[in-house]
Amino acid sequence: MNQEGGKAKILVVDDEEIIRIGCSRILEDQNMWVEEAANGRIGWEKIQASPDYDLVLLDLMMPEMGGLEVLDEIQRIDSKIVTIMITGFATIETAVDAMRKGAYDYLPKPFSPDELRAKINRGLEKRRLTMEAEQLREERDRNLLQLSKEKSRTLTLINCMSEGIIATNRAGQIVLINPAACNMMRLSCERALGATVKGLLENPDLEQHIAEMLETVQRTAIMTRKEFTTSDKRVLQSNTSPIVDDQGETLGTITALLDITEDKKIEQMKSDFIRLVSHELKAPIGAIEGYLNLIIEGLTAGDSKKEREIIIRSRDKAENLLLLINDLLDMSRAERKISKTMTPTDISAVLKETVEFYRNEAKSKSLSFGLELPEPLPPVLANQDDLGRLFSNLISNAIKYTPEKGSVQVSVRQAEGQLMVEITDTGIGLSEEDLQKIFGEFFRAKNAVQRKISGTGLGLSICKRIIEDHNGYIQVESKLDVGSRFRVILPVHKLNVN
Amino acid sequence: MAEKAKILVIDDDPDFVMINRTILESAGYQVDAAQDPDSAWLKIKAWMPDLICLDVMMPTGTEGFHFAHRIRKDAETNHIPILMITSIHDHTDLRFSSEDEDYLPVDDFVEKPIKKETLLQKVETLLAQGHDRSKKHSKDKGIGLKM
Repeated sequence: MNQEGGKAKILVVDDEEIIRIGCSRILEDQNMWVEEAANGRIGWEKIQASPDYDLVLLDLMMPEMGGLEVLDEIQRIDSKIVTIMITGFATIETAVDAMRKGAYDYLPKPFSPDELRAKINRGLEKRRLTMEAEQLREERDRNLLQLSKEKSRTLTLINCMSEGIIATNRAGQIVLINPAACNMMRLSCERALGATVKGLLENPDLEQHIAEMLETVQRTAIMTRKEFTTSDKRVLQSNTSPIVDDQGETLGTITALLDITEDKKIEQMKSDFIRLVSHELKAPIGAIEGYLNLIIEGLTAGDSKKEREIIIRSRDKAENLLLLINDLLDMSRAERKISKTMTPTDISAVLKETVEFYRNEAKSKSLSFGLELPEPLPPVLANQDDLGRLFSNLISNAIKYTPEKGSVQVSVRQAEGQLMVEITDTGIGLSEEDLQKIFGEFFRAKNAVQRKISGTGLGLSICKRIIEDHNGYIQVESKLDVGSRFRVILPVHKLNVN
Repeated sequence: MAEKAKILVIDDDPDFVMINRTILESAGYQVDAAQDPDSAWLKIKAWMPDLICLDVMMPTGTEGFHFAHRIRKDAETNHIPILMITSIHDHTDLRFSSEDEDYLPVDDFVEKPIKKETLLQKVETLLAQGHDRSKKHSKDKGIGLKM
């Protein structure tokens, strides 16, 4: 009980000293801890000071503060304290009244030690049971709290998931649905909860999938996966399992929904790209094969000029094929972002080198070819190889598409934390229609094809990827037969100055 | 049919034009070429070829199809046999939009890359048929590839 060593703690409140002493002696012999109070007020003060008495033996008739008054206070402070009223013959009725007010029992005077022991022991037993019950109740409350916490944790988890979750009962009614699922099925969660799946999801495929799972009589856990397209053209993947009890009875289903629209799009883009690449690779090889066959079959016999033309054309095709394959490699390299090292790079060095590399080519076309470079320029955070490839592509394009005696100018300007590299040519230019498409893979401008200027159609799409990798962007102005200006804008690298 | 049949090769790919032209010329045909529908149409009207080799992909995918319909709808040209040149099996998802016919109004087709024997054999057959057809003055009896 309350006292150390398991001693019951008893308070005897009586104004008759002889009763106090008698009770104390008897109870202490019972190995109890006994305290005494000579009247109601003292008793009440003791209980207030340490409200851990197991039992209070309380005389009904006392000066200063009567037993009933003290009882009221005890009930108010802790109704678990067992109170036994000591009464004279004349006060039996009052004792009954006291028990109505919460006293556990009464002990009429005079009483024998046995009577006292019996009443006290019964009272202490009651106290023990009360305390035990209290403890159990507290434990249960704690468990319930934990359970509800657990439940709310699980619910929070389900509600936070980006996968849609739908649980149904045996009748196919929705018993749980998370916001992601509601969103994917374009449903209001309030409307969905408790509703029957059939007709609600407005998607016969998913409804059927759930219905099938409800009908399975499989004892082992199974999961089936299906894909379906919603009315607004999104592709969802549903993974549905039946919930089966020990007897193999189906209790309901759980469905996890995944929006795989983007995956499908990427898949489609990939296969489109592969088809496009295959076509681009096949065409020149087909042409080379055709040319070789002409010679092998002797169809050009005697026309050495034609033979030479065919051979040169085949060689050009092979060269172009090689360029194409290099561009494809560049492109896949541009896609592998992780392995790239970005370092603060001096753009003027890269530009000088590139312009120097193309100087002879420009000279052979009698182009006015210059680089305007205000120095010093702040560095940009870049991959050196990528930058070289970027400016090579743009400058070689400008030279390629500019007729003889034209001009190709490269210049750099600096403004608001950005570097602007402009490559301006007086070339064949682009039509407004083509201008929209030039960064697309394998796109060739109509006028370039007509003029038989060879190209892979990948250069600019590689440039765009590189620039985007460097958090920059590219702008193009162009006018047919007048020229083009490509403007590359890259952010200046901010040095960490502390 | 004249001694030397006239064949117009319509293809935007200069390599295939050159290859086909060389093959056909070596077999004794008169050959001319056009790279786009407009110049091809002018050449057809002016030169009246006995056979047209038409590239299906010229140059944006559906122009070859539309061009075939154009030839078929014109009273002056609808008798000319068309040999469609195609690498169509690469592009099975192409949708061919034709306003009032769901088939390709050509007489035969040949796939790229073209073998000399196949090309010459098909050309010969079509020219013989075309000769019959223009004699009978009958309506188009093209095989009409279902698309």
